[in-house]
Amino acid sequence: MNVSLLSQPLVDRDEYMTVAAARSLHDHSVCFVGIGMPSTAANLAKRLHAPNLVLIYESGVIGAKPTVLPLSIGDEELAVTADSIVSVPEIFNYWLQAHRVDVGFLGAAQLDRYANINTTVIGDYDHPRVRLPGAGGAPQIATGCGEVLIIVRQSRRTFVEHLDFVTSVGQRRGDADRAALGLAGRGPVRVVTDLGILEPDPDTGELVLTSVHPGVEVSEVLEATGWTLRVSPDLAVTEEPTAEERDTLRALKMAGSTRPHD
Amino acid sequence: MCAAPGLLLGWQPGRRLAPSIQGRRREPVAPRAGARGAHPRRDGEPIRGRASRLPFAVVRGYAGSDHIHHGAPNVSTVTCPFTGEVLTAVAALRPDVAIAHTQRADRQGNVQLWGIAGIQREALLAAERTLVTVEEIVDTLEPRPGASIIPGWVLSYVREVPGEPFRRTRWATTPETTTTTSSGTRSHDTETRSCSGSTPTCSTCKGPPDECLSPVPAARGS
Repeated sequence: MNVSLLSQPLVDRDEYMTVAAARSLHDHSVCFVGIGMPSTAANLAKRLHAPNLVLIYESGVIGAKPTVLPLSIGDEELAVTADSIVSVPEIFNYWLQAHRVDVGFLGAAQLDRYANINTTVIGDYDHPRVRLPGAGGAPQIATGCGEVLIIVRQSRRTFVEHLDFVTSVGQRRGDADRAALGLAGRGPVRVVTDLGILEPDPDTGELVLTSVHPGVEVSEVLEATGWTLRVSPDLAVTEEPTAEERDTLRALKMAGSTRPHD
Repeated sequence: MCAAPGLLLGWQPGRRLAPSIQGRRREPVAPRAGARGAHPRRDGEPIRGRASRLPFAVVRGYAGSDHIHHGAPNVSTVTCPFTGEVLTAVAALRPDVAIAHTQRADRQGNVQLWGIAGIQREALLAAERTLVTVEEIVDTLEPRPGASIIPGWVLSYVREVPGEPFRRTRWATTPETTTTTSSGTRSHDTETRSCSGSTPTCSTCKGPPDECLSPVPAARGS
């Protein structure tokens, strides 16, 4: 193991983001995990304050306890450590749609002030500038899970006033809130970025900046947001990662990066 | 490479298939009739619909999104006749060909798989024609906890191609290991299989046999 990286004291902004996402997960809850930063955050939480966190991966893996970060949702490390393995249709129907999952992670190519998400197209739908991966299971995750955590790097390109396409609904579309749309679940309750944390106003559903990571100025967050971002009067500074959080995260990532791929 | 239209790539349990899953994300699995844009769902639900030979599958969760407006004719609404709830209908995908890779088959073409099956079973049951490559062909499939078996009579072709996901060239170099799946009524036929081990180039696409994905003859009953 690379000791020099482990002992590197400075925390970078992606590490703040991953640690903040991990802290948002509670012990004994059931979490629908995607590969990448969500998987890193969930596995970090499981190694620290949430050892009984139940990890569900879209490929049909329930109760995975990977010893290293999985390379994909089909990684055998998930299969051999799982409580149960079912098919993809079963995961979506009997588990996600049946509200057996407490919290789901979503990413976004674009996100608006109500935490609506676009992962479908950039530009006009019929003549897109960029065709994105699409919905996948995101609309079902956005409504099947008890609540949603969004994890995304913050920039004006991503945090936009107007979405080119609404792939999955956050807190509100126009005059209709989630209840009016008939959507189950609380929807996005927290957006964790590399600059801070945004949470929806309980009344309007509009995202409010509630925390900035250490070393980040509020003006920088406002500059990286494509709409006039509201700032909470109780704005906090994200608590520094503890040495344990930092070292566990780095060990996790290092073990994953040095793994043979075949 | 001459890929059949509507090709659906399956995935294999295990770490080795990680690139295949990424391939699944990129591979366009086009719906047939009058499709405008890509199908928003390329995974479980549309395939489940087709595997059941139903025209659509029902889900919740698309209300308020732009799919219903832009996704037509692949996403629409349907009203429950019992409760009146408005739900989302996603059109079934109708792949011409599905390819999956599993651990084992026997000489009758019954295929055994375990681990993360994903949508391999549904894909094989949804497609018109199927090819299953396996790590090994054995005399008898030993029972194994958690494993399932897909009967050979529902498949088109089974072939032993160890390490297939990473060594596609084996496809063209082990013709003796091909087995067919309908109780001996079909046999390996180099006349109809345009990509065979003894053919240096594919007679269909004129390309290297190991890159041709179009050689599966007509399936049983079609």
